[in-house]
Amino acid sequence: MRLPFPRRRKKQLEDFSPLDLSQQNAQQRVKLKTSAKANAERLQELVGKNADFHLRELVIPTSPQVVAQICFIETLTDSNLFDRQILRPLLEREKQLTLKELPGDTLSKKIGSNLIHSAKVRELKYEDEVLSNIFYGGVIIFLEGSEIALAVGLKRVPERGITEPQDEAARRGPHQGFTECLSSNMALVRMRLKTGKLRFESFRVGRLSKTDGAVVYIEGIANPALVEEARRRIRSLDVDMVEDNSILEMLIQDHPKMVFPTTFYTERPDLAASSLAEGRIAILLENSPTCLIVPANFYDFFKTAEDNYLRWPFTAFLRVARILAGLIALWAPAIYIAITTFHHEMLPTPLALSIAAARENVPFPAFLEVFSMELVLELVFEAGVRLPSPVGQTIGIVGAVVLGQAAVSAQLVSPILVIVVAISAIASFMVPLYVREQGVRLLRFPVMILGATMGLYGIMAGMAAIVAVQCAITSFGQPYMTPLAPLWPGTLQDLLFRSSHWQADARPGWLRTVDRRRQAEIVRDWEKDGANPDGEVDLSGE
Amino acid sequence: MRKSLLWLLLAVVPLLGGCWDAIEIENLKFIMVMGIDREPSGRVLVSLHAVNVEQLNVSTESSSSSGGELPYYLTTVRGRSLYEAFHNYFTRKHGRRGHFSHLQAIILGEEFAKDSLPECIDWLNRERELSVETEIFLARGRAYDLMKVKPIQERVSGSFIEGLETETANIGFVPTATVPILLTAFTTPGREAIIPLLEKGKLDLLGQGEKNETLQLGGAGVFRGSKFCGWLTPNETRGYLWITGKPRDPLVIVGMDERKVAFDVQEIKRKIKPHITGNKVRISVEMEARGEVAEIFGRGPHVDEAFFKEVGKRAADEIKQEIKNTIALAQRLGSDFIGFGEIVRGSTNNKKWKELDWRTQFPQVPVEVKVKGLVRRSGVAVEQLKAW
Amino acid sequence: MRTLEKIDPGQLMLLVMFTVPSTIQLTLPRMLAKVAQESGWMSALLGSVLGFFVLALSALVALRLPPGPLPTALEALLGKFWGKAVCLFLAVCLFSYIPLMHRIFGTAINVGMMPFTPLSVLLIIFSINIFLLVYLGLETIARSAQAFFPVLLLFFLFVVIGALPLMSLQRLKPFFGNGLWPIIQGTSLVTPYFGEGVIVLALIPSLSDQKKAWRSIGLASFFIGLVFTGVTVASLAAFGATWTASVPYPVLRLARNVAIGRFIHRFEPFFMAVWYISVYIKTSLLVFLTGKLLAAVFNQENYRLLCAIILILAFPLAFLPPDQLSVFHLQFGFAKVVSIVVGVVLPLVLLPFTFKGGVQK
Repeated sequence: MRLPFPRRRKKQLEDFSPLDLSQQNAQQRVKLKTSAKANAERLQELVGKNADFHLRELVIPTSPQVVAQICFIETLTDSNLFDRQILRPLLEREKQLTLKELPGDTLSKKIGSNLIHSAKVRELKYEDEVLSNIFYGGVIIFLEGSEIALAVGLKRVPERGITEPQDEAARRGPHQGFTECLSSNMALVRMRLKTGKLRFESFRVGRLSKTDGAVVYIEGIANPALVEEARRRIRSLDVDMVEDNSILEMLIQDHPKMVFPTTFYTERPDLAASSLAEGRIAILLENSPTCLIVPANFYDFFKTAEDNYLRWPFTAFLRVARILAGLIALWAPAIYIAITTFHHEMLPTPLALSIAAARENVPFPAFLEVFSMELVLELVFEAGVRLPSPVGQTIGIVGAVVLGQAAVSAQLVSPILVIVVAISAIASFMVPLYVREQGVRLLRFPVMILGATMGLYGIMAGMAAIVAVQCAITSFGQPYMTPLAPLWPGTLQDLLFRSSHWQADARPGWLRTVDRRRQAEIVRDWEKDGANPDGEVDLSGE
Repeated sequence: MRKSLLWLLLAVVPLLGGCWDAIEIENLKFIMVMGIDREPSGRVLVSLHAVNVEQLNVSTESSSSSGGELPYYLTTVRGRSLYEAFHNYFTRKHGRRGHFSHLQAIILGEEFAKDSLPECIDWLNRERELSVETEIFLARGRAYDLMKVKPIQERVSGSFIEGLETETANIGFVPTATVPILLTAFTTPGREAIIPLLEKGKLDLLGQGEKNETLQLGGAGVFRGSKFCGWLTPNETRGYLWITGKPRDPLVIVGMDERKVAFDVQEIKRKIKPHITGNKVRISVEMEARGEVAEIFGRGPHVDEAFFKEVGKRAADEIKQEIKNTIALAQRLGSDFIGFGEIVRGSTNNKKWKELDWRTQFPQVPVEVKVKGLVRRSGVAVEQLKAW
Repeated sequence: MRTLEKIDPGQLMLLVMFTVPSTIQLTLPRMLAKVAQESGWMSALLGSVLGFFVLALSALVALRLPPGPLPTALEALLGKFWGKAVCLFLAVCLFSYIPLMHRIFGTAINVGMMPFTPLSVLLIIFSINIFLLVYLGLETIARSAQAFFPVLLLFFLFVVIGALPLMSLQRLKPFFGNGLWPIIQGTSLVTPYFGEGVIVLALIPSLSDQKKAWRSIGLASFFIGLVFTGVTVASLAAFGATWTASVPYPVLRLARNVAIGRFIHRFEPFFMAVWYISVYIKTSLLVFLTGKLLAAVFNQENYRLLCAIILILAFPLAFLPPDQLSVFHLQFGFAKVVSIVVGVVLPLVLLPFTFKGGVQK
């Protein structure tokens, strides 16, 4: 269901200027000319005066000789490869190639297949193709007399090595993280799923950025309608720039105005692979070290990669702790305000007395006390997060320890309150995903206001509203609260207690995967074959 | 634009709500103990222990025995009714609202309790701040006099009384009368209210002799309908508690020749059976007390199974005597605080119950008591140690 | 009209479960204790068993209706005019619950939680919340019910278990102390409210799996019976009949006995807060259905606007009863009559038509 919140009408852009050629349709596309010189000059004109654009004329020593114009952008091409794969074979005189009077097109083909020592050779017919290829690190070869240009892919872009994921570190499990390089990201996924059913459907978004990306799914598992929906959404995008996956996320998610994230992301290829195996869809994007995973539900944001690698009782404990932490982070300050100003009878007697005693000399009402402390905490956090780590730590110490201590001894706030605020802050960091935590941190303030004005009644009203909205929103058309509401009985156990691997026979029902079963009925087959039913292995050799 | 403004407006509405019920916690005056007396003029005298929060703060920082002031003070208010007294007159003098949700104890003075139990019960039922854990006590004489006694260990007198009650109820010398227990006893047909007795006691503190005043519990006052009708001694109270099976850890001292054996009862099973023939009721009480030997005081022959059996038998006799005394007292007072009537009523129907006319019949009802005592364990030691 | 929103059998069960008990839940033990004293809980049990048949009547009609949303189905069955008339009648009956629910809710909150906050403020916030939920549609209402159900269940168990130390089965005796007649009288305080289950007329057409409708209805009435009987047994066993009869909201008083160790001294505010949810979902459903029916009657596309109007109309009507006791009278007089009319008479009238039309499903 679509959330029927009022939508603003899209403003028509007055002066719509086609920024580049690829946007024009085929009829308007300009074909290449037969003259290599003219083509090269046209390209120079399109690219403009650029320091890294190179144009070179070659004479290929075939019989008869062919004049070629070679264009490339130096900063995007690998000069070693250029030398080895293009220059040397083209200019070598030993292995002569005899070309009789061939028509121009066949000429290009022949040269492309015989002389270029590269796997990635493409034939281009149109100007826009040439232009986009050159920006993808292609070396363009115009041949005199041919309408077809050759593009050799020699891309070499600045990239970093594969490092450990920063935000999703795990003690157990692989330590590889995605990088900014699309092809290596694809490799990281591919090497975990060695099946012919794994599909990378490439796409390109952004008028200016022309960012490459891939929709990844496993055919025969992922629901085709879901894949089609992802395709449809991405294909329809018309923006100038997609810097990062997060932008793409906002562009394709169902409810971009909500505070709740409805798409999941990960830096970990192992998590991406296991999500694919569950029947979800992953979206990789060039220049982005994360991988989007859709559809996602509310409970996914309480999971971490490590959950799969730990033994199930501990995972179950962690899941419960995390959900509790989420609740505490959101509601604890509000409930503190509500109880100390409205429902004094709820506190046990000694605690009521000690809170009253601690608040005796505090000049502010409980609400302002909490509100200001929460604000200060946000200040400390934001100040610390952008600073280099040694300085950041200092900020933390100054902010938390010194400021908190001083505020308490100056009797600006009560010590119990500091505990409440600190607990809610720690709890908000326990919820794994930063996005999720943003939602919690943001909603905490309105909820506090409700608690301060109407007590638990207001808090309940707020909770009802939040749950109502959460129940209404969808992630790629799938209800956000799904395994619980609407209920999918089979999946419910995985919500709190991740079942052990040998028991997790079915894929999440709510994904409506094509293939429901995950594994054989009996996974631990060795158990029945063992000589000794107790599982004891006799090593004495008797 | 207009629509989003509307949503914003809707979001702001709760803010306009204001806070009618909000009171900052430090602006409340927590009342811990409340004493209620009837003045000769007919007005109600309510004495209150109000927590002095500021004092509580100071003393937690310095050591508690620094001779600082007590963290509460005693004050009295008068009024024509209970609620008038502390709602109108208290607030006028103290600048803060009295708050009852942490009230630990209510002490009813003898004069007040004599004929005003229903008035008090109504307030207990109606007051929304009152917690279910609030306990009610009776005082011999004025409740105000008890309120003047300083607690010896807890800093707040309410906590002291509460602890006193819990422990004394465990050893079986006082009944428990929290608000729900009292109210059900008051309203259930065939049962009468029973409220523990709180009194002043003497205490030897640091060798000063028994000079210091303290509070002590033991015994109870019982009612007949809404009228007070008599006192129970601690042992008679225990007789009542045996039948109802309440005490957790009562002790019976059994004389075995020269030795005194302490029989610590740990498990009580009892069965009360009414036998109704025509309009005549006969009641049989069967009880079994199981426990262990806690102490053998004095010298004597070998300790064996027969000895334990004998201890059990004599303990049973002790208990039976206590129960019989209590039942005799109850019948003399005409107050069925034990609740035989409730059980009788449970086994008949309402029409029959009316015919039985329990309040007039109860004093003549024959009650047969059977008690079995069983030493289940001898504790951590079996034999007595003897010099060689 | 928009296409039908779909709910699944579990959601149907929950929606019926949220709808039926909320009207009388808090006060029921008091009324039963007045009528049948100690045997009140038997009234609750018997009344719930009978209630199943009342609920089944509506379900039977709903399952035999022609396909399509309720207004279209009724028009197909009874003709254009009578179909609309029945729709309008049903809408008016359902509407009459809304201000009553507002008032019941507001009064209980005032008594149990916030004595000084004006009723109007409570109701404004309540209405806003309802409007949000109604705006989001039936599926969201059903999902909200599902999301909150575990919490409600937990709190219900807390209340019953928390009062266990106080309970004594002796107080439930004598069984049949006043004979059978008061017990049968008492069922009249329970059974009619199952008539509110008439909402299944409007819900079953949206049901995704109609074969499981009976299971949902059966389970729903089982759980409703459990709630009714549970709270009555708990109140009577904990307080005795006399005391129960003197307390306006015995269930609230039960909640007062829940103390989680020394950690939460008193539970009532939490309990009230959770009770909020149950009334909120019920009232939202009523507003939604009324809005939908009226939209069909007046050929309106925008049911949301109608829902807003309904809420605005209900607001002043909620202030009509002058005091708490008259709210009780309405609860156990007016609401009972409406429930009987809408839940028994209306299905009985419709039932012959469904047979005559020979509709197969």
